[in-house]
Amino acid sequence: MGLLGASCPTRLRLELFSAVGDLAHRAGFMAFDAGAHDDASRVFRFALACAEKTDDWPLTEHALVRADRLTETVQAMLPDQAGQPDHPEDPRWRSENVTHERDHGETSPIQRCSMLDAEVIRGMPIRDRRMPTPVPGSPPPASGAQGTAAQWGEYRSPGCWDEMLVSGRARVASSGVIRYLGSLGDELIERQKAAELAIKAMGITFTVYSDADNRDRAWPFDVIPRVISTQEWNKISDGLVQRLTALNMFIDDLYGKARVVTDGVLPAEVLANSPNFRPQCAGVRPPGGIWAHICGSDLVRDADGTIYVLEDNLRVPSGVSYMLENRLVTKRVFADLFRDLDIHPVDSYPNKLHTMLAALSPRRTDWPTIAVLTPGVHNSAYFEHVFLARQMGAYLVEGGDLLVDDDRVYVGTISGPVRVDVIYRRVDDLWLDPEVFRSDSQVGVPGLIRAWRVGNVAIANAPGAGVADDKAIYAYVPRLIRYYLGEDPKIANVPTYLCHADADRAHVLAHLDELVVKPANESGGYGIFIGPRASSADKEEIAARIEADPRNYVAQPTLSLSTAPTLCAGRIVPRHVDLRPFILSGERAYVTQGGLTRVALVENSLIVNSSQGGGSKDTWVLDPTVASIRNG
Amino acid sequence: MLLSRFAESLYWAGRYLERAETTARLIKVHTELFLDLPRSAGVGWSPLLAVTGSNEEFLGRHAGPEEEDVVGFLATDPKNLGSILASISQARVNLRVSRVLLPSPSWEVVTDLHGWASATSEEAIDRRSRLRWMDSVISDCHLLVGMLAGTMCDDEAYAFLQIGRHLERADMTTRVLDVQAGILLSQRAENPGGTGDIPYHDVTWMSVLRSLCAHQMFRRSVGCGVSGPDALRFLLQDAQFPRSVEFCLASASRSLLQLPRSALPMARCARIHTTLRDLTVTDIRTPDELHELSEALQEGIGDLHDTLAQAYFRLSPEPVLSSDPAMLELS
Repeated sequence: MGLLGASCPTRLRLELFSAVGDLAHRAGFMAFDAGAHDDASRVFRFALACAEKTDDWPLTEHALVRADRLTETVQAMLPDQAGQPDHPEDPRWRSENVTHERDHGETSPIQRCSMLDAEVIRGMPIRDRRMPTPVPGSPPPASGAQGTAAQWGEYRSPGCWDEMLVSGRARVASSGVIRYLGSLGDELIERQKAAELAIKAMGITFTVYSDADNRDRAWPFDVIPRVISTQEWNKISDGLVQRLTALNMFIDDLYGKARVVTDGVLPAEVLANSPNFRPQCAGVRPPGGIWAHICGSDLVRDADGTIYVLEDNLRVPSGVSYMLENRLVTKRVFADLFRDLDIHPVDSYPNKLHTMLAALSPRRTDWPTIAVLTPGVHNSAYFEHVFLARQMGAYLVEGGDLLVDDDRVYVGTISGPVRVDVIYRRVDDLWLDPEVFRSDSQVGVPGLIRAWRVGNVAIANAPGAGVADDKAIYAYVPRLIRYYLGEDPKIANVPTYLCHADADRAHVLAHLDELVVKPANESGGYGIFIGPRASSADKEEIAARIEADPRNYVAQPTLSLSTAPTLCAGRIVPRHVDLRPFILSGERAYVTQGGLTRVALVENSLIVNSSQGGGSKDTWVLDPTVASIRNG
Repeated sequence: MLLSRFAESLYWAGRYLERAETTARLIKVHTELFLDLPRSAGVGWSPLLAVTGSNEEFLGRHAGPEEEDVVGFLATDPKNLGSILASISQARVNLRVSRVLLPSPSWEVVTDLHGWASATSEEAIDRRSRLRWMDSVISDCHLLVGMLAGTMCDDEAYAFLQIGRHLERADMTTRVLDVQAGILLSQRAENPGGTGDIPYHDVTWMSVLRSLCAHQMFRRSVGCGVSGPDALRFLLQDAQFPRSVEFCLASASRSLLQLPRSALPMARCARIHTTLRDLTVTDIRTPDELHELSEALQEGIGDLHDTLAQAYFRLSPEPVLSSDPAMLELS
């Protein structure tokens, strides 16, 4: 595993991943034969992660099928260990509950696991087909005292900040919602079922692809919404706009005169090491100087309630369609709450997106042609590409549908070529144009960058915008905000130690126990060191690596992610959540009201990825003062 | 406006679905014929290879046209791109591309069909289960086609599906005639005394009609008895039978009417129509004449395909040439 953290050219790295994935795949078989099913499952999933990293589709498929079959086999062989106890009368049911409560009393090192760990896990595109669903069909607890109504009072977060309750009492913003949900009693479980039915009927899916069984899966959803007060949200929203404004000025500066470097705010070598800096974009001036038009920033909340930006996604952030669909579901399921509470709407996003994109059109026309560029049906976010194209009335195109002629972009239709004005690309910029970036790209459009450079087509997000979401750049964002805007950041950045600075490095080496260390130029979560979980040998190894190549490492303190009450197997339990709001930067900035709340459905897990047992919740931004007036 | 990529994938999905269905019916009917006739009739398995145009490819891998090899090759051999299994797989790949345009249950049907056909491929070869297997393929293809017809808008996307299906069908009908009827005509040439003298003459003609699902409709429209010219006329020129070449071309033209820039493909379609209209079936006396006719029809269908590809599937900055000779003919 350590190998994967090593720095080497991309081509070699891909081969390395492929080879390691293949080895892991074999190791999985050996483990399985030896009867070590847990190990086998883990190794297969690791193989899968490696395979996906390299786009090694045959290996992906094999590993996926293995991981899947293994899960089935193990479940068939070991029903008692693999599944939950079937009946609440089962003694194990009770003893398990006791264990849970004991766990909740204190924070285990694993729970205090770092935010970076969450990022490791979320960053790794593991697609585990085994999905611990909320088990809607499981029998409701037998005695009245264990019904959902009573559970609200007993609910305790395991030493983390809880988004909705403190010591079993609702927070101010959540009080209306909690009161209502409490009054539902076990009816809440019926509402969860209704929500799942609605999701099926509405065809809200995400896709886990293997050629053997190309089916969509229903989107895992928790019916209990996550509530944020308007007052708090306005502050967060201001902070996000401020952040994006600075980041856009930074990108524009970087590809322009790079004053930020000449003024000594950003060391030139940070830029030189950045995997997402695209020298080919230098000198381009996109309309309004805006590069990152659409951003999805991941927010987490630490135990003391502070909200941090964990990362900014400036390339192809996804998830917004699920935010919109989640709202449609809760509107069906909790129709009465929408009457009583002042819940801010989210549905205007596709319109705002369309307006923002249309404004980028190089041709002054009332109906610019907009195309959503997707890598194709195999992409896990394809549902969203289809969704957004439909909502905006845009073409849904792949690279092969576009043609550049005389530096103009056309889409091939049965009526002939149609000129394209704006491309909302959901393809990573390295694959956009084989003439400029990766020449082996099958999903790109030759000549696209030429057309963009001369201003004949607008691309959102602009190629090269990803430079501002590098891990190394992340550390500088507070400084960038001060430099470009002369303001203090309104929303916190996780403190980040840069190992190439002597003072920082000394601190990091002295506090390895508490910190998370990661390679600055690595994505996908590989090569990350988690202090609280590391052995002394691991520590020695990472210390040596930092000393050898300090520039390649950053370190951050551990955070504990906040929790929110979640319905799992008919019980209301705390589960870790994060939040991804979406920010549009056009003539005027727009921030979604709330965003996509992702929840780790497995206890203590920080995995919020939908393909790995993560689910989502609707996010309600509401003004509690208005709600309390209405409720009398 | 429909993207070229979607248009092309729908067209091919239509063709492959039709190919899977037709090949399944060919195998089914030929198996039944084989069981019916005594060995002395000399009906072998090579006509099936001839119809599908895969004689050479088959002989490259097998010693001779043994029953199990031929059926396996045509039904489930993944290396034979014209096999039923490969056709289903291709239909599915193409439907996946244009999935956003289709009613979602149709995707489930084609995925199920593909999964089932791959899992049960041995049943296709075993004589005891073969007919059942072929029937399943045929009825699942019908299910899918019916589902699309019943739930999809009759729009440009549907037009491409239909054009693909009808061209494939017309092509298949000409191939069946070329091979099977060729055998019969050669027998007649050897026995100039009369049709009744050829052993099993009517059984074989019935089998030709059956393999195109035509014998019942033929009976209803022509009456009792089967004669070569009647059958030929029915399969080539009948305006009402949905598998006649005439009907397929008329359907394709109707679909073309719904499309933009369809003048050139319409002209190509009309050209094949003319060949058919000018034909008197009783003039066809030798296998060579029949072969010539099928060649001409297949060439016409090939031209039409090229024109469609040029007009709709290729992404080129040039508008379609309007100085094409076929266009001049029209004006």
